Amino acid sequence: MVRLVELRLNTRLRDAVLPESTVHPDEDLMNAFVEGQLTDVESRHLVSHLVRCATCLHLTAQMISHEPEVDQLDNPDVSAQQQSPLQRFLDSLARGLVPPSNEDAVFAYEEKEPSEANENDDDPGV
Amino acid sequence: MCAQLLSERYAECRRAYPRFEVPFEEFRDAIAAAALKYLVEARQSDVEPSLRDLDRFIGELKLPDLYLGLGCLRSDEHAWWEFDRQHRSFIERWTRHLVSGDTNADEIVDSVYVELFGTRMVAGVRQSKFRSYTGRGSLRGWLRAIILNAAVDLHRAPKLEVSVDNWSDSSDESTRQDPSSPETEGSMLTTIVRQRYRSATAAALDQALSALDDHETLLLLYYHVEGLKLREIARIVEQPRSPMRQWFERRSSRQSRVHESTVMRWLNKLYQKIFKRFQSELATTHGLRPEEIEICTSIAADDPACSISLSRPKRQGEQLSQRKD
Repeated sequence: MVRLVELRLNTRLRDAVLPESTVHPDEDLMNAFVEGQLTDVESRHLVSHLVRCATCLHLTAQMISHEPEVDQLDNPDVSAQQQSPLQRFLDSLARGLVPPSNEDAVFAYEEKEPSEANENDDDPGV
Repeated sequence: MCAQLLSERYAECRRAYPRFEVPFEEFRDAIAAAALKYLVEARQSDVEPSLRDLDRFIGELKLPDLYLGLGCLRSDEHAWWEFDRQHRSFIERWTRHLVSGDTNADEIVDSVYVELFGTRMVAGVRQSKFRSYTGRGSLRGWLRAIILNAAVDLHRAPKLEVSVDNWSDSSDESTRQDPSSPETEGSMLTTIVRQRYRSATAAALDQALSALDDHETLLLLYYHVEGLKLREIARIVEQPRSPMRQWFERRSSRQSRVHESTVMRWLNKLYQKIFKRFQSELATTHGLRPEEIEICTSIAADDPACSISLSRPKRQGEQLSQRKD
């Protein structure tokens, strides 16, 4: 049924007809929304537009999904600076030791359970 | 009104950018325009904002960013040097990150700068993009949105990549029959009845979706149509002021972080709400009996890509969607 919900959402968004007089929100408003600067009241009209306009929905989604990369671009040298000369040396050494094919390498990896899973037990109230 | 606060903020901006000056009147008018946009127009209200609202609003503005933008709007060369120093490298790296090929990236960077400078004149006023920046969000975030827009314009791709032909109109391959073959009337009747239930299923689902609030629909759209991951949605609602968060969370237990599981729980609640409304629509609007509603439910659930059934309550921790984030 979730798949069906997905299809209907796509169809409804595709078929949504915006009036010719529609004024699309500008980048200033969308950015303020994505950055969490707008209050409930201020964003009500924007959200109402986003659920009917595929273009603006897509733009805000892109802004959200690219956020970590933007942060990284903001501080391009941080990771390099944080590495000590010894770390860099060991990394370069490791690069020389790792076999060219993944088939020849065995990596042990233990994923830790997120400890904060129960931190946010809010009732969404929907 | 707010004069003291404005003067203090203005002085701070002057100190932050001593190499150029924006007249106080322009600074004040820009803030007034921002307040008009967000406190009056965005609220679609004719009620004048209170002094307290204004104070809060001014306190939240990114005023040094706004001041820099106003300096550029005035074509002040020192302001532009400062803008370049702070943002040029980001603009170029972000654009190269978004588009492949140096030529395309250069084209976008050029077009963004043209927009920012504003080469068009209307009634003697240069139409610089900076005119639309209010300081409500960061200048860096605003630039990011402008570049994304420019990239979309350059490589305009279909927004909806999924084939979304009307589900209710699509014929079921497994039940398609050759009319000339000696099929029984019974199987044709089955097809017609099944088609009727399919139409009712689609219509009831649409009615259930229409009954959602906009913020609920937005959450579903981000997740299902735009394919945002749970952690990406969690990040946007992490903002204490995020309207999506304010809508969904119980206000008494506000926390600074939102875990992916919380977003999943919101989605689960939405699915259950849709399903409940879906059943109710089938019964009331379409006049179906419980056994017919069961048929529609099975039609809706008859999707191999879907690992869930909404016909029973979910146990805690059980995943409702097959999507892996």
